[in-house]
Amino acid sequence: MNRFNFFKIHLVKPFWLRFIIFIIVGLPLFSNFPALFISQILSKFFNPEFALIISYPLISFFIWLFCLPSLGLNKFLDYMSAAFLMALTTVITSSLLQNLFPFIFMENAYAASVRLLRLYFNVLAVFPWSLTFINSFSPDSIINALTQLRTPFREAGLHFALALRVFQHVGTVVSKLLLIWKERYPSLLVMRHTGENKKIKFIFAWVRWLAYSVIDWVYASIILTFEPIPAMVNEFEILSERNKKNDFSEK
Amino acid sequence: MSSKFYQKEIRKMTSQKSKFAQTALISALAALTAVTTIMVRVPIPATNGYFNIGDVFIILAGLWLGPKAGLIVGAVGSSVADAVGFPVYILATFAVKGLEGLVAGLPIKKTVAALLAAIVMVAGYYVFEAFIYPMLGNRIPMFAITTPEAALIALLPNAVQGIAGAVGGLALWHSIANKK
Repeated sequence: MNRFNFFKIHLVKPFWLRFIIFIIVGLPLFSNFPALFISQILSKFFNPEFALIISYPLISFFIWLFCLPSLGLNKFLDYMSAAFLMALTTVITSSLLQNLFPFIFMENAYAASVRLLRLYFNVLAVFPWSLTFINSFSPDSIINALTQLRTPFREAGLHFALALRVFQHVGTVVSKLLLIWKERYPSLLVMRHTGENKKIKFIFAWVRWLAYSVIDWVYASIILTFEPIPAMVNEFEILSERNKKNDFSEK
Repeated sequence: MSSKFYQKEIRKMTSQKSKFAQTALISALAALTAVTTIMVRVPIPATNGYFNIGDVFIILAGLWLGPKAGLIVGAVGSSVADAVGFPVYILATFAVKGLEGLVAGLPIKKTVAALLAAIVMVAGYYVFEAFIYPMLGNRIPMFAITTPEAALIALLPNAVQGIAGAVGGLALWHSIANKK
């Protein structure tokens, strides 16, 4: 038995306990309370502003540690590369818009930076947490559990299981496809190390990059998301037919 | 393979009448809405909300699969995205984005439906941010995040978001779902 099995959240049973653990661990993503609590403790040792700022990466680090054993290193790094890309795109676009339209984004530079920093670490934690969450509940287990239910609930349960399977598929596809973004003008994401730091030139190049990246990503996502759906639908239709005959057993 | 091949495949798939095919398509569009909403989140400090591009898939769902599907995709997909990061907005998002998808699916000219959906989204968020949230905020402090003045400021980014969603949704509908 693998000695890390204890830390693998997808092995926790029963399923409702797994669900509760996910919600508790993900609480900092829904609420500002844990960050404030941590910063209060840290402010005993550091400057209060610095304590608040470092509470965000600390929370993200904790969530990464929580997800890592379940995902495995390779999958975790895949998700993290997509998360970093998403987070960088978000903060660069936000900061660009804040500079272009200061009358909409009325905020002083310090407050805006803290807000963006928080958003950056939030995206970095949300992405692996969400994908670990949806992948920790198996549609097959739901289907097996349905055999214990009365017929009308079985049909509704099958729809739920299909929806979960589609969500899992989308999660996998989307994280891989986000890397399309990086292939177009990759220097924009690491502009500090290139000559791409002239403001006007950068703004035009960034807007163009974002528009093309999003369009490419949307088309690719639609095609790859919908590709296996007919096969999934057929599988669930067969199960539904068996359900109507009140028999889930293999024939 | 060419994009025409995929267009043909997607059309073939949507012509399936089974309830499971509908569930699968709605789930896929709801998941894509959630991801696209989370993907580029530009915070708007005045209202504590954010600008995003998730409306593209909500409007596509309405135009493509009808009002019921648009309603589910808008309400569920966007609320899932709000749950992580901006939970206080779930109430407004569930109602407004659901309505946006419903309007996009109305049996009228597609361009008009998409634009109407965008207007409903902008107006809906204005109503929530200017009136409902401040009113709720008087009783429940959690909702005291915006004011009527802030809601006015948010009209512009919301309008840009709505127009981008309508144009994107229409473009996608034309390229993958339009049978003409």
